[in-house]
Amino acid sequence: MTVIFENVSLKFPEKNIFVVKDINLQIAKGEFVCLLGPSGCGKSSLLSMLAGFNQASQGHILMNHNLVNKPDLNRTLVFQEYALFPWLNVIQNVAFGLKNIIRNRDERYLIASRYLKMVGLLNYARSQVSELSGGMKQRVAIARALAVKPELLLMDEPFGALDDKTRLDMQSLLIEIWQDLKPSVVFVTHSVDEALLLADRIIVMDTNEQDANVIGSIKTEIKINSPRPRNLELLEDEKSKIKLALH
Amino acid sequence: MSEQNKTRITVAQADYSRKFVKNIFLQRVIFFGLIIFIWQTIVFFEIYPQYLLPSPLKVLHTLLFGFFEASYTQAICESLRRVIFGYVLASSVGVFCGLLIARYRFFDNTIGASLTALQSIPSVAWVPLALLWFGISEAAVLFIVVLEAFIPSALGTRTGVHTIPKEIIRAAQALGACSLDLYIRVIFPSIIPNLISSLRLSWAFAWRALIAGELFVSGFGIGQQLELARSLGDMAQVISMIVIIAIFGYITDELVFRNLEKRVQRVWGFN
Repeated sequence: MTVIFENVSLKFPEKNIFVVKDINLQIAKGEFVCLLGPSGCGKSSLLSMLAGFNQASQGHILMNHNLVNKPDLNRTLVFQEYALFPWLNVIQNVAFGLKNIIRNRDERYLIASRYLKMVGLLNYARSQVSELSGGMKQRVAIARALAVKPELLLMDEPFGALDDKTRLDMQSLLIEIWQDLKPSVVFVTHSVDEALLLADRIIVMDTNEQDANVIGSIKTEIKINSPRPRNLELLEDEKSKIKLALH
Repeated sequence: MSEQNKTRITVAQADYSRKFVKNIFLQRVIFFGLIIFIWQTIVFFEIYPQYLLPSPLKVLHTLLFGFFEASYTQAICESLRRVIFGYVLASSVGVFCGLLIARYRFFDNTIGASLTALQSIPSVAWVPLALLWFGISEAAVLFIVVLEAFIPSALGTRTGVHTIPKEIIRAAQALGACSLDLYIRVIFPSIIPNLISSLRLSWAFAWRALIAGELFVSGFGIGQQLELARSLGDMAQVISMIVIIAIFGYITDELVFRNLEKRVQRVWGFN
């Protein structure tokens, strides 16, 4: 599987201002890509186009040679604000996406509990979402997004609302699960350290200063080859490259 | 008395007052006891004639006798049947309207705007119209009830849909819920907290509209019993009917809606 962005632009309707313009990108099967940049540089817009919620004004996005133009089970999302369904308990949340794939309820719950186990929340299967802490809620959201076996996992600043320690735990949990299941991941963040710890490849974006009609653009791409778990001190070179690109 | 004893007494007093604040039942008994006492005093000194203000005991007697005689029970059952039917109809219409308004701009600009206008019309104002259209009939009362009670449900549904976080909808869509499936599995459950409060309001509106409708349009029921009592100059029955209306409103609100609201709040994790 590959995702291809071909000259993708997103324009504000009825205005001549582009959120992003002429984006060309490829994401390989099983690759972990971080979109890194300050807020308002268009990274979330790229993600929501990739999810199929917004259509590109020009150009197109292909996934497995198919045009991306609507949401699909093959591309699931994890949000900063969890977006769990409060009227369902934990396991019902995780099984939500399986409803249209698997008829048998017990089978759905069996699969859901496998993913709950993966995120370490099997004991909370029957709990209400409101009883969980932020980190636990995000684990449920990850399990919910993965339970339908998507080829592409889209994460929009998923750990932005968590405290530092929980954040580190969640990062290593995510890497563990990713290495196990190997979906492609597109991970939006504004934290340089987070991108360095997680990504195979970092796409650095910034607000555009050259062209007043384009809001955000891609500055550079950086490949990170060092094995995980990573030590940030050994990634100073990459870090300074990113800092350079952001100025 | 020693200093220590004094503090002990004040502590004990503080303890009593704290217990009193917590004991809601006792507070209510004292409050209503006081009202009845004042009422009885007024009757005792014959400030107003008996036929305008009967004694509490007489009202209680009328109440119990009315139930014993089964005429009250019948009237209450009739009214309840009518109001429940009207209420179910009104809230279904309301929720449907609310969903339409929330989904389509056109309906928001038209129906949505008229709801606010409709809201300002008291139910009694519909009585002449209902009488001319439907005559002295069940339909006339139902018309008044539905027209009054669907508005809170419609407005609550609209607010509910508008306040669903965008991420919830997107997460569901990415997980394969679309069109009708999205409504049933996500949008409808999402608006439940809003819906419960507006259904509660709808019930209160329906109950008021019912009494107004029955009072003016007639049709066997509590409202008609009230009107009958007025024409007979039976003040004890007038008061006991008012007591019945109040108690029924209170019981349904407290037992049904308060409990539902609490449950929803617990599941959703409010408070």
